[in-house]
Amino acid sequence: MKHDFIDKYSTLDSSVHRLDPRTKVLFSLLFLVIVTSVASIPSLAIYLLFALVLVIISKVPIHFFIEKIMLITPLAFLFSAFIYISYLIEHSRSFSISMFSIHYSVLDTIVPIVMKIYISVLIVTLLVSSTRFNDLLWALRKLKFPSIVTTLSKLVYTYIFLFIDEMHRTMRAYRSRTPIRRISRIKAYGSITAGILTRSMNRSEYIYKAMMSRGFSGEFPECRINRFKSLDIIALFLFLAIIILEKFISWKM
Amino acid sequence: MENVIEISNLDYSYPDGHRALSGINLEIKKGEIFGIIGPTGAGKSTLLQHLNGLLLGNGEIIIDNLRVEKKNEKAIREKVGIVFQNPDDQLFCPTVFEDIAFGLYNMGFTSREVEEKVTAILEKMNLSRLRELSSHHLSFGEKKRVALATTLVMNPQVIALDEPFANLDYGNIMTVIDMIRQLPITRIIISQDILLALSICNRIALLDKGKIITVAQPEVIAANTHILKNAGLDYTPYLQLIRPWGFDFHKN
Ligand SMILES: Nc1ncnc2c1ncn2[C@@H]1O[C@H](COP(=O)(O)OP(=O)(O)OP(=O)(O)O)[C@@H](O)[C@H]1O
Ligand SMILES: [Mg+2]
Repeated sequence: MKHDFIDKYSTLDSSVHRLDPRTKVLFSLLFLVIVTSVASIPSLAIYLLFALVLVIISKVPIHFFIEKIMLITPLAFLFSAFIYISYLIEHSRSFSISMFSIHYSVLDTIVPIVMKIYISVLIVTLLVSSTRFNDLLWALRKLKFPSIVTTLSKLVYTYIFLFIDEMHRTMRAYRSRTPIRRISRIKAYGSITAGILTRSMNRSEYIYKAMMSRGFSGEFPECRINRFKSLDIIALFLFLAIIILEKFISWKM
Repeated sequence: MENVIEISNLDYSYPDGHRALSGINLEIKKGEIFGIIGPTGAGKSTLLQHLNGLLLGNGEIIIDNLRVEKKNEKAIREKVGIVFQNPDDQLFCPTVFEDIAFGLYNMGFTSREVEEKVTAILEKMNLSRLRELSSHHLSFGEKKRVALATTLVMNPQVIALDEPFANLDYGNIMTVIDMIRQLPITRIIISQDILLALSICNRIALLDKGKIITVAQPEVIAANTHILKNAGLDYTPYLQLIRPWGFDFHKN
């Protein structure tokens, strides 16, 4: 069986992958803050373009990002429609809603929101798909995130693998005793789910023992790439250049 | 020879009230291969988990002059490595590399040292091919060897193996036996396969219903078919099975 997991492209080799995880976390946070704070469509377009360039450099397959974008699209539109409607309600008393103003405010509210959401999804997906999960947690820890957050994430991540594994096993055991492929009875689902849960719980108890037995104390294992390199400096300057460019363009306009 | 492990008056009951160990007294010497045999449910795995404080029972366990208790946990776990009966319980990281590296990171090695140590153990155990695979994709025998590697890489003073030979083919069993024999540390082996245990251990404890029946040299245990029979571990019928082939095991 194959686990499709968030960091499944983290073993690729690209300039994005080679950045220090701390750099990536900081950049992503900064990127998110900046993107949420700008509102003009041209400025957002520049950041979107930058995000796309990073995605291409990372060599992570485009379809992986498209999947995530598709996943968020209905929510993004729903969310912006909601904001748009509340905007209309707020302004309906003082303004008459002409066709023009509706048209204008659609562009002005929905498009930037959707763009912001898309950019954020691209950046976050890029961060988690180009960094080993352990390295990511290590970076968060180094950047003074509370250890409870990182430890919990680590355990959840570990147990999700275990859970998926138990699910596969249980399904296999079930299929081997069921001549047809389909699970026919609703009741069977109940007992299968119960089986998967108890098995995962039993196993997680042992796994926890195995972790402790190898010295796990809730503290964080180090990561494999942990030195700032010239690449990180270059990335920093590139990022600054893009921000300055965007500010310059929006000032000109 | 000096004792590396001393267990005195150890009792343990599981939370559901089942009494799994009672009045265990045991001394294990530095560098020996010590076997623990006993029928299913005798408490072997339970006893093993006491050796590095995964379970804490009543009584006293001293490992290399250090009492097994909460405050010595870290030191004890670096001294005593345990390999579980079921390798699926031992492996939990996304890749074999990370699984083997896990303990080393916890011990505070740098990335470079970890990389070197993991590479070395993979090569030594002939597992380099599996390095970036997910442990869920491995065969049982491979998983068992990786599980052993995760503990060996931490370079413990004592290694305790729960059923290291179970479900392996003879080739794999011989590989594991060779490896165990070559380790210059104290080795504790739990095995249901009494013939294997008799052949590689220096001393053996027979455990039944949570109690130690006897501790002796393998040849003494092998000769005492009476107590073996009582514990349901009589191996002579096995020998009868292959006697028709003309081997005579009693000659030498
Ligand atoms: N988590 C648990 N809760 C309650 N009882 C348990 C638990 N684990 C084991 N036991 C019981 O404790 C006894 C000893 O179990 P243990 O696993 O130590 O046996 P064992 O000698 O290792 O057997 P085997 O050779 O089959 O592995 C058994 O009767 C078992 O049912
Ligand atoms: Mg057992």
